[in-house]
Amino acid sequence: MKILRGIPISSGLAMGCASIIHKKIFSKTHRPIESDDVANHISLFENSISKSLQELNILLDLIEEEEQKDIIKSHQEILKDEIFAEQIKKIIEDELCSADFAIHKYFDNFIKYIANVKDEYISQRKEDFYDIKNKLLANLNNTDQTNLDSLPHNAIVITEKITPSIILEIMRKDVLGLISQDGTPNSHSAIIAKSISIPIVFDLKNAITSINEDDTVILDGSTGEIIIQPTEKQIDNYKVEIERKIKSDKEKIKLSALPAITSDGVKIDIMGNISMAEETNLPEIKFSDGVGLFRTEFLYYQHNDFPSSQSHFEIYRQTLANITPNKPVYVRVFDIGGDKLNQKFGLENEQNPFLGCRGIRFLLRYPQIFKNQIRGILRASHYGNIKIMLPMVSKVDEVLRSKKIIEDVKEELRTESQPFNDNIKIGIMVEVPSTAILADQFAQICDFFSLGTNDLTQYVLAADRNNDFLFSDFTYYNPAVLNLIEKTIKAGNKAQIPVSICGEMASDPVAVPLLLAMGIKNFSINPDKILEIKQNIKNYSIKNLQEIYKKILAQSDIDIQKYYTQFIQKK
Amino acid sequence: MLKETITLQNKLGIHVRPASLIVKIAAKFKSNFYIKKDDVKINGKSIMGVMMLAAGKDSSLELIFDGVDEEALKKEIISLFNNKFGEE
Repeated sequence: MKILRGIPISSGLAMGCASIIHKKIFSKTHRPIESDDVANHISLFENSISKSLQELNILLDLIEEEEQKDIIKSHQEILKDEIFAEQIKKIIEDELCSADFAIHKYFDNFIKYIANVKDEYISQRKEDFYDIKNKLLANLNNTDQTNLDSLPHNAIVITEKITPSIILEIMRKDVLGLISQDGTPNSHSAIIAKSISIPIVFDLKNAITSINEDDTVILDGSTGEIIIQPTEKQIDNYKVEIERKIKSDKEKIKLSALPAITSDGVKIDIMGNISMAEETNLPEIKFSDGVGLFRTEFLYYQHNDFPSSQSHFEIYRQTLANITPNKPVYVRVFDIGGDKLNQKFGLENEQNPFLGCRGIRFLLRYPQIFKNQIRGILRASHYGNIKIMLPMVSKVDEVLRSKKIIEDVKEELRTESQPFNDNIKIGIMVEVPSTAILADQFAQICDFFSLGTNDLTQYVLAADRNNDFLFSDFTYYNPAVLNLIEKTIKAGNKAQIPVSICGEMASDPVAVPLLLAMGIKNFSINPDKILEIKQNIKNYSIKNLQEIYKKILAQSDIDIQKYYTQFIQKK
Repeated sequence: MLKETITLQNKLGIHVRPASLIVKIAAKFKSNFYIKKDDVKINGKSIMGVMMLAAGKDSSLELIFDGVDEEALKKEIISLFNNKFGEE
């Protein structure tokens, strides 16, 4: 028996067999294969080449600098090199080894050779071959689902790093819990991982070496505690806990349907954040006040490409059907860039992707991608209360240009006599300081605001939320952040447009009383926190919270956080 | 079969970009194309092969053209080398 502790990401208890996926995917060890499996591995390899070529094509479209284009083109040449492909296939055939091993073997030899060349410029070219090798391996992994297919029933998945493709695979499988050796709680991976609704622990140091394949593991997503090879007694305790959980789940469905009303009678809308249409089946979402944030980036991962406008339409229609009658669904159009999708789209070439071409900037640069999504949303608008939310807006002009594009798509639909809601609401994420500062101006041209506190915090404080060293600096209790939130709420109220909040701050029980005092009446939060926050709200009086807030505002971020932590404990 | 020995003039040697230019030209022709450096002889139609040459500035390379359109192939390849791959 061994106990380890990581950072709790998503609550819940799970027990099952450990299945270590990352080791398998990037294994350099010779995995012998049967001779009748050779053709299969050759075709895996060929698929991985064509997928990699496809990705590079997308990249070529996206970048403008000639020098970078040349590098990408030369990588394509390498991937198209038949002689190179033949040599890898020959390794698979001759050595009866898996495609991933053959790729490793061929490239490692090649890289070693190049690295030893005396000419320094040429020896540095080894980086190009690293890139190509990793791309091939990553795409091989996407096509080679064999090692994920062979996950035992009731597995606890252990991985070195969470990638979107791993999350997707896990969602398709009957996985009980997830442990990652790396990862920070505020990363996008963490946020997406939470949407799977299984217990998750990140940052479990040495997870890969401490846990063996098939070890029995108990995972507590609320505390971050992992028990490896538990004793009989621990297993019994676990079973009791699970019984209790089943009971509380039933209770949950009942409670989810109840509205959140403060003790002084103010109705607060509690909506949910989702990344996939399927999440609307969770009782917390189904019975809440709507979907306050539908992150659509995941649709890209599911298709491994930008979805057609028809797929967009079907997904939004399904979402609306699941949560009718007429509750709102705020669809945030693709927020691409930053740490999301960056490798696929060549945005890794940006020196500073979070200050780069992401969100609405990306969509305005590639309007066809934007139009497809808008068309899907507009067609779905005939079937329910769907709204368009624009991410990473930093200038008024971006909203005006987006509206122009939306009008163009409306015109197309009119010509085709397709029904849609001409009065569809268009709003923005307020997550860039310039937008919060000019909130009054934005309120004149937007139908609603949604505060994205994660990005707002990182941009106001100039602190990267994925940086381990800055973890404690990254706090939305900082008075400068609170000030901009308040400014946005006031501007919204003045213009009589709704202001909701969908960042992590809204899912933080400690921050909720503070937000209520500031005037937020629409929350969009992670499904696993919805019940807790609904329950808490019943104990609060807005009037009382406002009085506290006036007194507390002059204090430092740490004191504000400390005060509210004690405050909710007393309730 | 035609042979021509040249000294590589461009400053950065045959890195990935020049290699891809060589391969692209070679691919247009039916003739075989080989490059020999020291004892290594590679297929000039394979970019990985060309990279294997690890040819830096001042390397001496033997170019071998062999086939129906060897003359035209030779002309284009030599001109690519003489233009230093358009880099300088």
